Amino acid sequence: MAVILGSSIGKPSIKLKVNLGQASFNKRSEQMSGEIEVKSKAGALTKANAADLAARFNAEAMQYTSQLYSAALRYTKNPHDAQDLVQDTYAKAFTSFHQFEPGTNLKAWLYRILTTTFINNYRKDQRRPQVSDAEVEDWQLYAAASHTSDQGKSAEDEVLENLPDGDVKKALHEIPEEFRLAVYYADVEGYPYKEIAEILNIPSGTVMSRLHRGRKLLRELLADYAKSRGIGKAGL
Amino acid sequence: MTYDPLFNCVRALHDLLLYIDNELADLNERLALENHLATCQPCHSEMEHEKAVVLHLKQALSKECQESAPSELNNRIAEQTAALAAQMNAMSGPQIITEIRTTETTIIGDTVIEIETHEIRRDFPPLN
Repeated sequence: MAVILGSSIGKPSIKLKVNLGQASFNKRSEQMSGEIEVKSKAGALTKANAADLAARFNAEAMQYTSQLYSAALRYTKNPHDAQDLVQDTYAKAFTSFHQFEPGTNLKAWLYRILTTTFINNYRKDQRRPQVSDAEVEDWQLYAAASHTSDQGKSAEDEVLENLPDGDVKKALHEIPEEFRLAVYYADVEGYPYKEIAEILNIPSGTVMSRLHRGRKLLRELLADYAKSRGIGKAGL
Repeated sequence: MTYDPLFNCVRALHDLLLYIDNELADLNERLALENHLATCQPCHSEMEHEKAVVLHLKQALSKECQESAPSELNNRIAEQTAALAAQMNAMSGPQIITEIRTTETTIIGDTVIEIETHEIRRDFPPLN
């Protein structure tokens, strides 16, 4: 059995061969080529402390299994794979637990391991989502900003006030993975952008664009579901 | 606060998304936005709407997407931790550590994207 002790996926560096003529693109590409933090020092583990380590691990990390499981469901979208993913995550977490810095955020550390475990072992399409797309979205989000009509607002209010159980989970599972995870960590876990950036190993600016794009997709889907039931027809 | 002609609705509509998430860290940017919202009714109403929608989404998502770990999973993890700890105790001699570095290069049009992956694995004897 091979256990991944430390792993990291570097932040993509984007090299622009031509000047695109957009200030925002140039600025973004500077942020993208930031420092990569690689936590991979393999510490030595002696016989004496393996039992202590297990006791400490059980006391500190086992309280988060439900949160890890519900996050894992957002990655795998099915309970069977989610359970396997969480179990693998805990195997990797335990074997690198001696590298965990006490006093730092253990749950976020577990989420980072969950993310790399998913990418390395579970994602069917091994390619990373296209970060460049999200960067373009950020610009589009900015350029396309306009006021919503009053009808649009009240139609959306009506949709949200009449939201049946299960709709929001169904919609979350329908949107692409990169948007789904940003929404999950921000809106269920309540993490700030910076923390989400570390968990997903992407720049903060990308978290912002994925989160807002994700919420937008979610709202559009909820409106579609409602429309098929005859609710919220007034606008959108 | 002086009137800033460069701070327009497009800017406000973008910044208010960050403001709602408590991510507009710069005090001057916050003041500029608040100043704009105080004088621009359409942006003010957009802000109230966005705030309400995001709150609603958060409540609905939190209600539906916080599943409990099945007890079977907790048991599997506890057994696994005990087995791994026993293996660590039993281990002697040199350990095999594999370091893997890969670079994935994608070229889309005129853009070159390079993603570096770095992984360290330690091999354990098979679980019994």
